[in-house]
Amino acid sequence: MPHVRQDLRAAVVAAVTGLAQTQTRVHTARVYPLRELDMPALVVNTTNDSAETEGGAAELYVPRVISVEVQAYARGANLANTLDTICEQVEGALGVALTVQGKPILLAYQSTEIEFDGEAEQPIGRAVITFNSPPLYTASNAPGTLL
Amino acid sequence: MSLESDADRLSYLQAFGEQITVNTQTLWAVPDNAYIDVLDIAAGTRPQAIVRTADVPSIAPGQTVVMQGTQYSVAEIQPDGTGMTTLILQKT
Repeated sequence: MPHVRQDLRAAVVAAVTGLAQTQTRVHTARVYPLRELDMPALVVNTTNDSAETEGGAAELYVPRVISVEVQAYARGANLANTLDTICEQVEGALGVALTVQGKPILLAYQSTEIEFDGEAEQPIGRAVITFNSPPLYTASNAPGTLL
Repeated sequence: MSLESDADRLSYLQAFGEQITVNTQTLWAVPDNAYIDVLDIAAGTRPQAIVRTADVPSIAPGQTVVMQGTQYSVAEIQPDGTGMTTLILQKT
């Protein structure tokens, strides 16, 4: 059984695949470079999984808050507008409840960080959009099953 | 005192470079377009042309350069102070 993070990531990828700007150029845990033909693109990562337990005590049921990072990459002219358009589409797609293991999960928007780089033959930019899950309960010995 | 003359520099460019067009002027340059990574994960290239400073006395950002069949605009001008200038280029 996959970890709940994997199921959440898959639900996010499904939700952001097919958006007008980035279409099917959606990756997870991408470590190899995105070429010109690969952009604009999204990279989806689950970057943190923290247990919200009182004082860090061990419990039978773990309330997990999972952070999901959606990185948007684009290049060319009007980069700020392009990235903002992608962000608008990503936030719209993730602003409705996702279905994970048959349960509705509504991610909470946290932040967006944008940066630009002019070193290449065209300006390249990145927007990192971060969302947090609500507490997702799993048994401490079964992190793949949502309760 | 400079160790080399403009004529020396021209002979270097003719030996190791090729002709490019800056605006409407054809001149000799050493082109480069090396691979770079930016923002950790985005692949790109960094096109540039090394020219004689004397050949581009009024060069300015935004002017057009055609190098190896591709049209660019000048993004940055980096004179080295010894008679050569590197033009950092951007695809138009």
